[in-house]
Formats: sequence, structure tokens, C-alpha cells
Amino acid sequence: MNMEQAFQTFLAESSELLQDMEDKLLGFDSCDDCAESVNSIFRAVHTIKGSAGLFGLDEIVAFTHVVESVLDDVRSGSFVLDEQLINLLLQCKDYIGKMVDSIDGEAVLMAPEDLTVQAVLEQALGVYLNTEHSTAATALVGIDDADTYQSVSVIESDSAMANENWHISVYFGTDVLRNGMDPLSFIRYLATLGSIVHIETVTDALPGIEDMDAESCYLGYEINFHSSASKSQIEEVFEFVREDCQLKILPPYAKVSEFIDVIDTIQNDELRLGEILVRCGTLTQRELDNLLEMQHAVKEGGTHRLIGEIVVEDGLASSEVVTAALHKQAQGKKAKEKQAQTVRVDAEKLDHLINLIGELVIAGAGVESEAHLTGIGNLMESAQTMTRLVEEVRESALNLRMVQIGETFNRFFRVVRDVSKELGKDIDLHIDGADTELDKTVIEKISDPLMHLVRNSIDHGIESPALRAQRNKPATGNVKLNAYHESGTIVIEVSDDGGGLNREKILQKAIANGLVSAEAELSVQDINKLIFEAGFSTAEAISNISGRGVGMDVVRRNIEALRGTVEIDSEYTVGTTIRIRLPLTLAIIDGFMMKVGDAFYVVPLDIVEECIELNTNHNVGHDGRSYINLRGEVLPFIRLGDYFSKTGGSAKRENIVVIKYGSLKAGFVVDELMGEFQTVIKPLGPLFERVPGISGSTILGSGEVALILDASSLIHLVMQRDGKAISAAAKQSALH
Amino acid sequence: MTNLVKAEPASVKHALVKQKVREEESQYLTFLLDKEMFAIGILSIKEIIEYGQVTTVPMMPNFVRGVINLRGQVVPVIDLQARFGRPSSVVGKRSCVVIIEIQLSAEQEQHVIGVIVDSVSEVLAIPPAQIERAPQFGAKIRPDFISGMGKVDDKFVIILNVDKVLSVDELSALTERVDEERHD
Amino acid sequence: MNRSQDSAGQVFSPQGDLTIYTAQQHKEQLLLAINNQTTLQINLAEVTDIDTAGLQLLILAKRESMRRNIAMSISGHTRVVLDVIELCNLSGFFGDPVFIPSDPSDKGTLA
Repeated sequence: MNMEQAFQTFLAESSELLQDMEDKLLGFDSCDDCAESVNSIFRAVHTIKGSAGLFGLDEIVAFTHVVESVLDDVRSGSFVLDEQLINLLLQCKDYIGKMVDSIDGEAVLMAPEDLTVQAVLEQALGVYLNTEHSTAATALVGIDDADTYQSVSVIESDSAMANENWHISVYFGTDVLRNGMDPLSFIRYLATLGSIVHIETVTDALPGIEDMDAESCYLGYEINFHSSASKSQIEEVFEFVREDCQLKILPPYAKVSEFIDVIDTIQNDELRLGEILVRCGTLTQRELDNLLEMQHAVKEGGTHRLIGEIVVEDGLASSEVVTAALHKQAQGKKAKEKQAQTVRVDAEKLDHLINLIGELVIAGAGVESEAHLTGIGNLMESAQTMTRLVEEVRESALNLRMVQIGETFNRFFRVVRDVSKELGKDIDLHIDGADTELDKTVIEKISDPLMHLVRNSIDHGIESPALRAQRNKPATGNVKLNAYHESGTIVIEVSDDGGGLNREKILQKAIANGLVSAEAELSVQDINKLIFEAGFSTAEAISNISGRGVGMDVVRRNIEALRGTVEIDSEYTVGTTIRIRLPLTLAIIDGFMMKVGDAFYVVPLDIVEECIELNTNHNVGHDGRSYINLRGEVLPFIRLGDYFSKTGGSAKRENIVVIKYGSLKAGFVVDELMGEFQTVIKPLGPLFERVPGISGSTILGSGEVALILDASSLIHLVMQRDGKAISAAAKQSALH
Repeated sequence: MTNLVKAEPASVKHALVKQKVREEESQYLTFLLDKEMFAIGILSIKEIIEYGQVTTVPMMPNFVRGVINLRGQVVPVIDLQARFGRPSSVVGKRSCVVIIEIQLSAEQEQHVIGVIVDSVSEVLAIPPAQIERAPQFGAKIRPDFISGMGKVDDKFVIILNVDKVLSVDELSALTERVDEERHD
Repeated sequence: MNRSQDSAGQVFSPQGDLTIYTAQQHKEQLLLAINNQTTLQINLAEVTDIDTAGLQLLILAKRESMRRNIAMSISGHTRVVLDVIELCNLSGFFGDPVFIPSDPSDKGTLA
């Protein structure tokens, strides 16, 4: 991995870590395992600090260091994470994010006003650190200069170890020897800085004789070291292997948490570290016992404690070390499982793979149809097997892109918190269906529109506390995000129990703006949808958050660009639900193919309700009517051939494909039904961008291009056209 | 860390490429449209394929013949004759689709468009000195479609300005108008 | 320490440097020496230099023989070898009796 790649990873990781930090901070009030939350917040900051150090980003290191110190004290229980501190840490998180964004080469270029922010934050953080100093309990936290440690004489015994020596824990990387370095020489050099009181060679990583590579290094050392050297001097000993070893240097009288840190970081499968530390004389047995207890308390997880209890009850636990070992093993396993669960892949590579699979699906369809033509049984069977496998590959490839929407939803806790505070409203955010999966591209594109909608709900939806009281509603407003799958689409709802849409006002405004004519008769849905028109806002006061009349139309456009639709349910004074319906993926759909004349058309399979033969019983086509009686229900239909000006629709038996999309139901009259078809969506390009009724194209096994119909826009178009024709006819007859 | 990722010294290679480009700049593919000869600079030509299997797209102006499958990519096909306001090309034995790549500006992505021609003739080198300015009228084609008149064997060949002829903005604006006309 | 040279026994006596440069080769020899044996004698008298790679081999041999229930002993510690074993506090691990020659310049040999 070169530096640039590493740097990109750093950026990606930082934003993930910061997001995690925010989630944990926001969820802190309601979390079950507060200690674990604090730990992961701490780890996030700590990791960013470490990585930033690697890239020489001193500004970030300096700031995160302060934040880390405060968090470390929270971790050790010096003070609690209260509302005020959560707010402060959230601001710090934002600031760290800003710093990461402002990295330019090896420097962080912050605007002067940002530096003022930093100063304010640091001062606020400093208050926490100072209170701690006054209680003198764990004043050592986060001070890197080792000389300070030795000058501190009074240290509370329960928070610091009695060991007056340094403890160095160093595990060399496998390539150290090959890189021409000999760990022994580092140890020898170390010995010149002081005296090695005790050294333990840790050989646990050494594999069996067959697997052992004589040129790899497998050794680690735990060293109890007496010296007056400073931490940086000791660090310098390992300067040349710094990046190729795991090095922990604990100062004299190191704190419990630091030892826990060592035990946690060192990746030993069989943990003898506790024993080793005792043997080194770094810890006394009693200290170790306390430490393990403490570690336990910090990471109190039900299952872990259970294992420990069983071991003790069975009399197997000769010392607490066993418990720690089990604990550590369980943790190690968990970490490994987690590692196995996620692999970071370049999105571009994934897209390329999916494109290739798209081609494979097309080629496979071609093979299968060719095989059918030959009539050779075995060949047809093989082709079928292949098609089935390709199908499975396609499914799994698409699944690679599927991401849970939860992460996107969780981001809104912060938005709701901040915006509602700003507006002086008290609002709770509820989330449902966070585990609903959809395509990563869709998620990325939907998060901005969602942001608009949520802000809109907070700003326009939820009433002021006074108005809520007047309406006998609870003072706390509710905004709810919900996601679920419905017939091959994903539905995302943003709902609130706020004021609802005032349709009268909307209509007036729309008429005033000339969006609709005064005589127009609009359905409830139509009026609701007016809020998605450009330049439309009913908010009297333009606030910072929304109400500038931009946004809602952008929301609609963004959603339509994703082949999605928006619906609004709203009741005045009761609340509003905005429902976004989106396709699950943008790349491949299960299609239903039909033929009109010599052209093939595809519609998404999941909107096809049924297919029926259009026979003489339906008695259509002669009186200009375009509807049939479908088991007592009126079903309007569109003759695709007429619509697309296709001649040659001379098929004797026409069919109707019954389409249901949301609340729309209609029939498409076609010549022939071709059946299900794996449809790889190919964009039609900018030239055809504005063609209504067509959403894309696909390539058939024969190499021909078939068009994919956008059923909803097609039906709307026909509705519009009919409406116009009728009103024109009405005008005409009125004239007579 | 930025200086770790240095660009390779490619100036030499660059110079060679430049020279080649200059040679190619004065080369043109000539083709026939209803017995009249036209030319397009070969730099914008991607390939030439046989005419076949064009899928028509509904509600498009008549100069949009439809789309074809170019090795997995769906490419629109334009009837040049129709685009020039003449009767549509009649597809014959020697009809071809010339695949053209156009890039309107550095930021915009490349568009691949096919044009139907009656037959492809040859690639000619027409030095800049042999190219006259487009006539104000008389070519029976919009003057802005012509980038110049190449002199070949004492005859003139119309060199097309593909960026104008195939301007995606203009074409899609036209398609929209067709759509409106149909529905009004 | 007796040098019982019974039929199943094997002597592994690396010569020269027992370092990263020779480790692979020594490891192969060690592997041969340890296979199908009940005892293994390692004689280090001819070892002129040892580094971490060499030390690892000795640790490996010791661990492997414990696993396979092979009686292993190291003899002929030279000064350099002893230094390393002491530096790493591994004398106890190997548990071999060590003869320290009175003259430090002399290579140590087992009595």
C-alpha cells in the first residue's frame, strides 16, 4: 500500500470513526452498555490521533490528544458523560471532521475563525482536565512527557501501579529480520539506557516446525526496565522498527487503564501476558488481580462474565489470569469474526464487477436461446444450468452493493437534535426498519433528499410548543423515519405528528403563483404534491432551515432521477407522511418482456399483476373506449402499438398486461407476451433523457436493443393527454 | 505525502503522441450521402460498422433512427440526411453506421453517436491549405454544420462539423419539441 | 551431561553463523535431524555468531522436541550463544547445563 492509498484509507476511516463517535454520543442516554460506548468513543478519537500522527498531521494530533485525555478520564470514571459534555464532544467531533477535511498535503489549513473555535473548544475541554487535576487522582492522563511521571510523588494506589520501573512491551513484525534488522540489537541497545530488571521472551507466535519460516520473526519481549531516560528516548531505541513492531511503553507508576490497554492490544492467542507481567515484576499478583477485575468492569459483557464464573465454579481457575485469558480469547475471536465480516472494496471495482456480470447475463441469455434453436437436449440442459448459476452470481453481486439504511437514518439524530434546539422545539426521532437493505448508490443519492424532508418536517411540520399545547398535543413532537420493502421497491417514509398540510393555503398560494388555474379541480394528492413544485413555500417566516422555496422541488427531481416516486399523506393539524418509493437497485431488474410489432419492450416484473388475453368478450376497440371489465373492476388500458406509432400490430390475439404501480392500475395491450427476462439496465444517454415513458434500455440475447418502459410516467402521460382531449372536446361543444 | 506520488516523466511520449495527432488532424473519412460526398475528421471517428438491428425509439424526431447495441453499449443512431432536412436515407447494401465520439468540453463525458451513411469511401489527407471556408449559402445545409470545404481532385468535399451536427444539447431539445407537438 | 550416542539419536551441529543468512538452511537440517528421533543433541561448539533468527531456531527445536517427547539437549554453548540466551532470559527455558570456560576468549565446550 503506498502512502496515497494509506491516506485515502485514513480519510475513509476517520469519517467512519467520527460517525460512530457521533452515533454513540447521541445514543448515550439510551444505551445499555455505557462503558462500551465510552470505550468506542475513546477508541475513535484515539485511532484518529494515531493515524494522523503517522501522516505527520500534528494539528490533528494535538487537538485529538486533548479530547482523548478528557475521554480517558471519563473512561476511568473521573467524571460522568453528561448532557453538557456530550454537546461539547459533539462539537469536537465536528471540528475534528473539519480538520480532516482541511488536510492539504502534510498540513491542516484551518481558517482563522476555525482556529478561534478550536481555542474555545480546547478551553472548554481544559475545564474538565483541570477539575481532574484538583482532585489529584489521575492527573497523569495523557501527559506524554515521561519526566513528569517521576516527579509526581503522591499517587493514589488504586489508580496507579506501584512499579517504579518502565514497562516495555514490544512485538516485532514478521519482516523485521528480512529487512536486515535484528531485534536482539535493539534489546542490547536498550540495555545501555538503563538496566533490564527482567525480560521475558514471548514465543507464543512461533508456529510449528513445518510452518515456521526461518527468515520471519515471531518473537516479542516484555521488559521491566529501570531507567531515568525519557519516554521519547526509549521510543528512539525502536526508531528503526517503529512501523514494523507493536510497541507499548508504560511509564513508571502507569495507570490501570494503560495496562488494560496493553493486554488488549497485544494479539496473543493464548494469553499469558498477565503472568508474564507478574514474572517481570512489573505487576504484583495482587495488582494483576485488581487490574483484571477492573478490566472486567470496563468490559462487562454478559457472556464474558459467564465464562469466568463457570471457570471459577469448576475450580479450574487457578488464578484470575485464566479469566483474563478467556476474556481475551473471546474478544480476539469476536474481533476476528468482525474482521471477516467486512472487507473494504473500492466501489469502482465493485461497479466494474457488476457491469461484467451484466454482460454475462446478456451473453448467457444469448447462449441459452441459441441452445434452444439447436434442439440438442444436453446442450440445452447445460445452458440452463449455466443460466441458473449466472443468475445466482448476479444475485450475490448485487447483494454486495446492498447496504442497510440504518447508518443513513442514524445520521438524522444529530440533525433533529441540532435543528430542533435551534428552533426551540422538543422533538424525538424514531427509526424503524433500519436493517432494510438497498443499493449503495441509491442510499448515497437519497440521503440529501431525506435531509431536506427531515428538516422540513422539523421546521414546517412540527408546531411550536405553544401551538401544540393549544391543539392538545404532547409538547414533544415526533419525527419518524421508516423503511420497508414492498413489491420489489423500497419505501422510505418521513412522517411527523405536526401541523399537516393546509391544503386551502397551498391551493391559494398555487393559484396566486400561477401554478394552477383557479378553476382547476385537483384531487387531494394533487394539492399535496404542489409543495414539490419549484418556488413553492407556504412558510410565512423564512428560517435558516427551510422555507426558501428551494429544496422540495429538488427533492422530487432527485427522487425521480432514481426512478422513484413521492406520495404525501397529510391531515391538517394531525401530521404528514411523505412516502418515497424507490427501485431496489439501479443496475439489473427482473423484467417482463412483451412484443409489439417487431419491437420488444420490458417492464419491471414486480409491477406486472397478471396477463390476460384480450378477446372479443371484452368487446373493445370499436367504440373508442379504452377500458375493460376486469372481474367487475374497470381497467383502463393503453395500446402500446398506437401509443408508440407502431404499425403491424396485426396479431390476431392481443394480450393485456395488467400493471400495478403504487395506487395506479392499468393495462398495456401488446401483441405477444415473451415472459420473464433478466434485464440489465443500460442508460439511453442524454439524447433520450427527456423521452417520457421510456426509462432505459436493455440488450437481448439476440443482440437487439429492447426499451424499458417507465409504466408510471407512461400512464400519467396518457392520463394528461386524455384530460386535455376531453377538455378540448368540452370547449368545442361549449362553443356550439 | 503528495510528493511520494509523482507523475511519471511522460514528456517524450507526449511529444510523439502529439506528432501523430498532427498527422491525423488532416485526415478525413469520406462517405456518400445520396451521391454527395462528405468528410469527417478521423480523430472523432471510433469505428465503422455494418448497418443492422436498429431499435426505434418512440416519439423521436425522424432524424433519430433509434438505438443499436455496440458491444453492450446502447448507442443512438442519427440519420444524417434527415438531420440536414432532406428525405430520410434509404438503407441499402452498402449502408454503414459510422460511430463518432464527441466531447463538447473537457469536463463533459464523451458521447458516442452513430450516423447512417450510404457508403464509406476512403480516408483522405486534406492539408489545411486545401480547405476553403464554408459558403454562406448554396450547400443546402445549415452553414454552421460545415467546418470547411476540402478540395480533392478539383472537387469540393463538405467537411462536417460533427460537434454542431451531433450537438447533444440541440438534438435533445429537438426531441423534446417533438414530444410536445405530439401531445398538444 | 553424557553424550549418549544411541542408534536413534541424532546430532545437529550447525557450523559458522547461525543467523538470518543461514537460518533457512539450518532449519532444513534441523527438520531432518528431529524427524523420527527419540533424542536430539544440538552441539553449538562451532557456532560463531547467532542472531534472532538463530535463536528462534533453537527455541523451535526445544519446543518441537517437547511436543514430540524427544529428549533434546544443547551443548557446546559458545560465548555469543550464551550472551543471547542470557539476554533473553531463556536459560531456564532450555534448561541445559552450561559449562563456562575460564578463559572468555576460548570457545566453550562441554566437558
